[in-house]
Amino acid sequence: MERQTLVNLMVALLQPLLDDQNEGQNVKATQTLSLVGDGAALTSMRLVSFIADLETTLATDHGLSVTLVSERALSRQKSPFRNIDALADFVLELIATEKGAPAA
Amino acid sequence: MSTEQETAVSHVDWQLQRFREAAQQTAMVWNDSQVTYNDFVALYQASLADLRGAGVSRGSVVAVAGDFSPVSISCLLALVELECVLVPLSRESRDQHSEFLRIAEADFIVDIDRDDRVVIQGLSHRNDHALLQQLRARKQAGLILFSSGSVGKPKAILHALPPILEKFRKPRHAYRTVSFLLFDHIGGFNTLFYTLGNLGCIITPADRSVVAVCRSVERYRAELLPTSPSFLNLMLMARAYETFDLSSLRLVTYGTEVMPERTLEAVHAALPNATLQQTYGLSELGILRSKSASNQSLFVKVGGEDYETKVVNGTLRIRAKCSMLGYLNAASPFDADGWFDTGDAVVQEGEYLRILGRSSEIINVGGQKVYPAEVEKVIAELPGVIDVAVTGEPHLLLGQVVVAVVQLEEPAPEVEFKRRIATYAKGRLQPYMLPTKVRVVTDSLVNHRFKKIRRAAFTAKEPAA
Repeated sequence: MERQTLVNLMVALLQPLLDDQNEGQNVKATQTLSLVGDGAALTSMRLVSFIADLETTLATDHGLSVTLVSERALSRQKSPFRNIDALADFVLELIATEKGAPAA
Repeated sequence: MSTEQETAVSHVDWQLQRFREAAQQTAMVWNDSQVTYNDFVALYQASLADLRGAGVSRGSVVAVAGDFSPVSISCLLALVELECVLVPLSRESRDQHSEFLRIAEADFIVDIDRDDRVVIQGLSHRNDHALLQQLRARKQAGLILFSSGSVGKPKAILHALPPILEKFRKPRHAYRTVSFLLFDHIGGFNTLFYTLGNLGCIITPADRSVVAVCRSVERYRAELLPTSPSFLNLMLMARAYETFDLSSLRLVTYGTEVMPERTLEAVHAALPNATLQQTYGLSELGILRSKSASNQSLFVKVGGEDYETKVVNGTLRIRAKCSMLGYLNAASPFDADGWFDTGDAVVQEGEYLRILGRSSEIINVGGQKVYPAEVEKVIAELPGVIDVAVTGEPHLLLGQVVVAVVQLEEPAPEVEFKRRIATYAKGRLQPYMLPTKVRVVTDSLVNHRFKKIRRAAFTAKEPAA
């Protein structure tokens, strides 16, 4: 999967959640928008929802079965969920390993 | 002869006397033919002779595999007379029959086919279970029902029959009743003996589909339909109330699953002549008398003269006069004072309760409790939703997340439908109650037993990705 395609997909999935959270205020989904920690653009519930949407879309539209919230992800020094850029790298890494086997 | 034995024997005598009083009255409509109470007396005598001829005797455990039919009903009555332990088995559970026969320690199986032909076969499963021994020593007829097994394996529930049957002698209203609930279900058993005791009429539909059931109601002017919320949902979706004349229905009872408010309102609008009543029953305790606060209310008063209820930590507990003797394959669930923890979370308002669902089904999202029924109720209000089952799924960050399996009229992308739910649920559900994952299906979420295992069954079928 092309990195840019993945980034575009994540931006498209993130925007409605941002709109939902920040009613009236226009917060734009970008590759560098902070998603975790201080100043995170999303509540933790919405972040979990965003990650689930990404997993679902990768499986249904791209035939890629990945589990993003795992011990592996949570044990990293720098969170792979900190922004879309980091998450894109993490997803590509998972796809490249055995965890990225095509969905049944 | 003990008093208990006299009660058991006299029930059949009492029932036969009732049959003779209404000899020419229709007792049953089966396969579109009418069976009178007089016919039942003859069928009963024939069943009694057949069973005796096959070697069935007092204390035998006898499974009856079939569905509501003239011969199956006669057979059940004959087995009560013979002081046997009855094990009704429905055709729908056929895959589990061999396991059920073994657990029940069945001595015989009476197989009744769709044409009401009977084959009686001897079995050798007897293992002298202490509870069965106890029942035999008391010279009482018994009943074994299998729980749906929403958690773990099905449990074999053993009842002594005399106190259960005794309740049906109290005269109540006679209805023309559709036998919708299953043959091996406490609700089905209750429907049967209530109807016979009050000389009503049992109407058996060709099958339990919406069309067959509604056709039976129309053709035979049924007055009582004991059913499930899922059936009512399907009936509304098919708009069967427009195709069939259901105006004869006076009472529609529903239980076994949590009723979505939207369904209740829509059923009330579709069947304005019928009283809608929620029933509450457990195979372990029998069916409690119940009274809904109103046709459109999900608050219900449960109990009756044979039951005591109390709410402990938001969960309903019941003590029954004639609860089961015990499980044949599990430890006793009663506390020292005889109270049974139903595991059903309830909200209490004065004498009325609203049943929220199984405590074990409560989802814990980051320490916040989510009742599946609350979420299901909101999702069910969305256009195009036929049915919905909400469960929890383990999640590394939040402990659990909410997963909704939604049956839709037309398929829709899952992420998109999840967004529709979130938009609609704003102001109705807290953010933590929103489904994190949505699975869209087009198959029915209801299993053949129309039971609470809907959620569990589906979760088991579709493991988390």
